[in-house]
Amino acid sequence: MNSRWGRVLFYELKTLLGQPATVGALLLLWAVGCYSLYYGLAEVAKQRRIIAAYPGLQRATDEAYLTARFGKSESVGRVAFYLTQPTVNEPSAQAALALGVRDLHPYCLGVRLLGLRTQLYDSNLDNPVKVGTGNVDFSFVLVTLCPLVIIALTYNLLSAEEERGTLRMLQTTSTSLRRILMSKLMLRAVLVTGSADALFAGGWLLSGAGLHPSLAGWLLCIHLYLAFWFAVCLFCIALRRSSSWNATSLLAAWLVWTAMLPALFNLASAAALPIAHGFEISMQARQTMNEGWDKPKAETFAPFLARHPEWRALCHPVLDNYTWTWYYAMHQVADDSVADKAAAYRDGLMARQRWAEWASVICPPVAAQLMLDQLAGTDLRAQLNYWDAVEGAHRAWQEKLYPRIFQEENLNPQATRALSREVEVRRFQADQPSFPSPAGLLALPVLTLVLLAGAARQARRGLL
Amino acid sequence: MSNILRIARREWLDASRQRALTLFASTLALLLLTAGLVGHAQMEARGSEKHRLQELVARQWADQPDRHPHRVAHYGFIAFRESSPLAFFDFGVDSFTGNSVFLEAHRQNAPNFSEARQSTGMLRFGQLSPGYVLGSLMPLLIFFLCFGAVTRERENSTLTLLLCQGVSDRQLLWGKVLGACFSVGVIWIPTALLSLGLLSLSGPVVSAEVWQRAGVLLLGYTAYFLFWICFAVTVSARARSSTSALLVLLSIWATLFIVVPRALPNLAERIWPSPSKPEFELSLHAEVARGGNGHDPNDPKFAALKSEMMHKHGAHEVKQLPVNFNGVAMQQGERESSQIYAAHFNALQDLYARQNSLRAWGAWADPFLALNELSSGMCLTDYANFVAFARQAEAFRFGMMDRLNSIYINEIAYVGDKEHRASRDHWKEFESFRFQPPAPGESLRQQAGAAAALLAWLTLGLLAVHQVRVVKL
Repeated sequence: MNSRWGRVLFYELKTLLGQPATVGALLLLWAVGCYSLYYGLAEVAKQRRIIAAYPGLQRATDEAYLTARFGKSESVGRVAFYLTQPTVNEPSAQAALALGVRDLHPYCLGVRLLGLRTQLYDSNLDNPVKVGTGNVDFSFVLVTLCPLVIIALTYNLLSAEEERGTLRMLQTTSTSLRRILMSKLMLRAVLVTGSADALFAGGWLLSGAGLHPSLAGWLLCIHLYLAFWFAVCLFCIALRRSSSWNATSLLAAWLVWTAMLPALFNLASAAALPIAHGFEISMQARQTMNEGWDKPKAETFAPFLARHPEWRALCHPVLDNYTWTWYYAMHQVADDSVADKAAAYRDGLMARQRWAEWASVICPPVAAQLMLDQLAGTDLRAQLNYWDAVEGAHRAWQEKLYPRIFQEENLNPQATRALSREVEVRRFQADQPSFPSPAGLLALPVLTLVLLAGAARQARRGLL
Repeated sequence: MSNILRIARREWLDASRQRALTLFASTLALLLLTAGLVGHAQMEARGSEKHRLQELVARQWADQPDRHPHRVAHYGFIAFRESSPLAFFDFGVDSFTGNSVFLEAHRQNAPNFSEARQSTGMLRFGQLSPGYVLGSLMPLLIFFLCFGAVTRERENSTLTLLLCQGVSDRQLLWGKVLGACFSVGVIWIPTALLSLGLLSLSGPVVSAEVWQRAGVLLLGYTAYFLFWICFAVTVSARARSSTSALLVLLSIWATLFIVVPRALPNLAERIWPSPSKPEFELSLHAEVARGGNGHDPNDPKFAALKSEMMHKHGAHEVKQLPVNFNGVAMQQGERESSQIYAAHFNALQDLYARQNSLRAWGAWADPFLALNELSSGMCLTDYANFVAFARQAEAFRFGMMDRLNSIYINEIAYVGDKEHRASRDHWKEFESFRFQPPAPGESLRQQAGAAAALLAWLTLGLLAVHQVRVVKL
């Protein structure tokens, strides 16, 4: 019995690998898969290189500026005006496998001591055509390409035998159709899952993620997602239609899930969760800041000190002539004037992220993509946290320098240089949860079970 | 001729009886309707929002009190990129390009606040626009429609019957092509009419230019569909079975519509790497810093200019000059830095253009890319349109700053410079920014390669149907 099954499997493997379509599909998977690993690793290496070079570059630029312009004693406020606080958003090792939305946002952001709101939402420098088409990383291969390969390998599992007239012969030589089907399916599952696992293992090892606690989460996502697509194919096969019908409807399913639904979701989320554009924030901050110049200085100091009681002890308003204290207070008042708009903007983006996660419950590819991005710390959530970190760095810097500015302290050239040396880069790295949000993680097995139950129902009807 | 018509009629009837096919076609039609209506509404909303903000910025500019002109230069202006009325039809790279740019003294800022930056990772799966549905999904419908065009006749043993009745290969194939054209037309013609209807709703007057663009789009998409019909029928004529025909067509679809369009821009970035933001900006600022500092009229870099002016006016001291030298230095500094910005910006655009050329050349290997380039170019959502915006905004910035510096030079006294103000009447004389997109002729010239490639594909397809012999087995 066992040897006969072995023989069947062996012949099945031989025929499978003898088919140009199968070999072509697997080769495509491997070729694109290897490229995706190279691309993801190269992209992260590039980001790391840029991040490594950035603080030095920023400091050299700032210092060159200071030495060229400041030969004599200068007020702290004026020196600080020319300094930049570098912050970087470091990629996780796993970012190489799922680049997420990292490339849409700057991962090196220098902020000056001026108003944060006109600096925070700076864009990245990139070719929109390249950004628009997206990345060919491991997550793309898994989410988009693997289902196509699974479909190509399984759509005619029974129908081809039937159409060739070999199904009856097979049935007479073995016990049941179900066992034939399952052995064929298992063989293909081993081939595709094995390929995806091998690619994943290669990517994971090369990325240097090591024994990161999220490994289990990754493996779970990958296998649940692949299992879902095998269940889709099994359900379709169990309907016992023709090869062309299977190919058409499986491809249609792939299209609905990987293209149509996500596109509809995008449209729906933009329509249902409108976000007052970020430009209103920068516009209003700019307007408030510039009006400050035309108003009596008391009108700037009053809201400034009302909002920041912690600085009352140190800040002694000078109302009749220009002081750097007044200048920075104007910037802060401008920032404060848009604080609620900025919070609403952040909340709006977060709402879109949550909405996407819940919508993905009926769309496994989106669920898988969001989960992988989340595990890699490359999703929108991570970007929002980076913004918070930049805000924190800006505030910490203010707390350090404002007292000295308020005292209108003067610095000699050495002290100027020392002050610029004090500005250390702030490094941020996104949190990587060990397990992704439960919505997608629960939806995948539920959908898989529903499909399997459908297939089992067909089997009970005697169709399998 | 009558044979062709008869075959076409039967093909159309067959197609309309297939349940899976009509289901797919109705899904497509529904998607087109949704994409058209929602996309149009969304674009309108975004458009009116940007229009409103642009007017607000212009009003705030005009309402400024008496201010020092250099104060005004730092206050700056914000230019908004207004989308074309056709943008709803094909989003192109519109969602990935900045919507507004802050124009200020001494700096060239990058356009900011793209739609993509306010979206989740879901955006990467694609955006629903009529152009997307027609460009990527319609060919799939055509494949499903045509894969069995000839093979099914053979599998049903009707092929020999047909050929015995005096139908030639050529008549059979043209009949099949015409039949598929009916089916595609049932979706395409209402979509085109709906889009034209939506277009006529955008704004009070839609200019003749927009209608010209729409005309090119209609022709382009029609040629594109016709090519894929010819291609699918040819594959079916040469295939041994329906299944193998379908398999060939579907693998071609996966390659040309999923893998190639993603791989080319990706590869281009590897071949011609782009500079990073810090590298680009900091080297730019370092170069600008090496030039004259407009804020410092005693900068040695302006010494020659100063002595020349003093000589010309026979002045012994700077304050004796009839103009304000501080303003002159400011203007000189602004002019120098703007030249440096322009040089760096152009170099970067050249690099991006080189990267994008790989995709443009891809149009000769992948008809989808040919259509895509042409379509986004005509809808003014392509990269060229964005660059045009960035250039116009920079030109506007430079013109504005230069004019403010002229006011500085002529109306602000040198003595007590910072204490003086220029009259508020000046600000009302400035005109607001208005983006002028490239003219249709200009777009067509930019997309000439794509249009030629599309035409070549169509010719190839028509020739193939004309020449191919049906495999008889």
